[in-house]
Amino acid sequence: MKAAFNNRNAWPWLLAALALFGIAFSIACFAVPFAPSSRAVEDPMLDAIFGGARGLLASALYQRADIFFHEGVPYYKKESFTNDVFRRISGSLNPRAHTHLSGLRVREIMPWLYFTLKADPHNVEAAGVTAFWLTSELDRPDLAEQVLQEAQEYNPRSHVIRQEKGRLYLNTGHIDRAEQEFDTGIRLALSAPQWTNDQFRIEMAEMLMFRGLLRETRGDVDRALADYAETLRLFPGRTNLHARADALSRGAKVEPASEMLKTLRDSRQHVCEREDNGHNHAGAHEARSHAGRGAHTDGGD
Amino acid sequence: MSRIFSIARIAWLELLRKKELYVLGIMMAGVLGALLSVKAYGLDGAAGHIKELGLLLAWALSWALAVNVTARQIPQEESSGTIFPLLAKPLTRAEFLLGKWLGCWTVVCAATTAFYLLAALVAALRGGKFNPSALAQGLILHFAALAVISALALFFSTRLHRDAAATLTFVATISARIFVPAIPNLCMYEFGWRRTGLLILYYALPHLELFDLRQRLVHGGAPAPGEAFILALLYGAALTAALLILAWLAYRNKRFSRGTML
Repeated sequence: MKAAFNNRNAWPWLLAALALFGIAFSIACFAVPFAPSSRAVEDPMLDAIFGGARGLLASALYQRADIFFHEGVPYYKKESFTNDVFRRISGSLNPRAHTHLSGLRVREIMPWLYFTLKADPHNVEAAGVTAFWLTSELDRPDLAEQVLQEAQEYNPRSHVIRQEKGRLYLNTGHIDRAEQEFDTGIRLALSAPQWTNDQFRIEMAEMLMFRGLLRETRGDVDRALADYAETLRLFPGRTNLHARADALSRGAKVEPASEMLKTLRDSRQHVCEREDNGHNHAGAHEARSHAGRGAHTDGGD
Repeated sequence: MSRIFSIARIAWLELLRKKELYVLGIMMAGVLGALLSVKAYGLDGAAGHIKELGLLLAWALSWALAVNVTARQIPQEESSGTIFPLLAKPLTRAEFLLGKWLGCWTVVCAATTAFYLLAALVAALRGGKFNPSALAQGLILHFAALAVISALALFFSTRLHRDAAATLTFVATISARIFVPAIPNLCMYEFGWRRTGLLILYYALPHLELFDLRQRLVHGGAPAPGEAFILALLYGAALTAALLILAWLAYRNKRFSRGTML
């Protein structure tokens, strides 16, 4: 045994080590095609480092984007006391006034959204928000289209991506493509098992409304009326839409669909989850800002 | 006073010899360099994330350095037996402790300054700028936080082994940084003795969040009001002094037995 470990006798050990490497290599070559993960295709490095925690990482990064959008002000939490000496000093050192980024400064949230989507390409909400800002404040619809296209590759069954693409094409004047996207989005939403929940109904109604107006602008009033009827089935309380549908079916004059489409498209408003937290929008509120799925047009009325 | 500086100098030399500082600096440069190479959607002009991550790294690395460097000083002297010739010299234990703390604190402050400069340099490469006065304030408050952390590590190391002292300091300071600012919110949902307990913790534990000016620095804020800045510094100084006194009380009558140390 002692002789086997003798330094002068190293060749057999070297050969054994090489043979073992060879065996390990062969096993690896044989085993890799059987690796079960489909996500590994997306980004093996991130999968290797974070595994299942990728979603958590993405969520933290997305939250960071929101904090950056609010210029560093963290989420508001109710506190039982706010006026002790530590809170006062801390409040003076790091102000908590509620402001929003606007204009080109919105670029600051882009890296966070970019990393969010890299960490979790299935986060359709982040993809939608990214596309919104790229289209609106940053005036880069080409990049927004790329983002949505990539998101669609990862989430082919998501109606939300189609809805965002529809909006994007509406903004860029590609009416036919917008209608196609809303069409596909509606079909995907209908085939989704959870389409009866509130958020789904809102998204569905918006897509139906957009598609109806697009059909109306093309003169296809009958099919537009079918879309309005479906919207009213989801939200029976929309009296203005009711009146419009009635007037259209009677052949009466109504506000041009193109105008309504424009109003609806531009009505996308920022719904800030921190409205009760001492707002100081500093001119940013007029910007059609967006922070999360809470921000949407509600599809009419 | 010169005896304190001599002890401090030894701490400096030890850190420079062990090269931890260079490793941390290279690590930070590597991370920031990698971040610099990513341009989200090809858009120029976004540097906030680099500032944020640069300062976060500066905090994390300086924190780790402060705890590790300080927590090992006394146990190292004791286990190697060098404490005996040191204490045989005309050096009081208070001077010994102060020298150790001063050396560790100043060397970590120097490292932190280098980390800040690196973060500022990398941010500048992306067009991001810090407000110089706010940056100076942030750095000084950061020094105050490091003074408290070093003093706490020194206090634990007077009676504990190096690893135990470092672990306890990490647990105490990190939980204080995360937990203490959340107490006013937690008090909303607790009543009776639980609420009283939370309030005791709130006032007793160190408020390290007071020394963290990152929000102001990253989002281009103007310098902080002087009064709040001075109050935070005074708080840090008082806390550090209190911890150093505790360390001295724990160490002044400590008996060394060569046999149990080896």
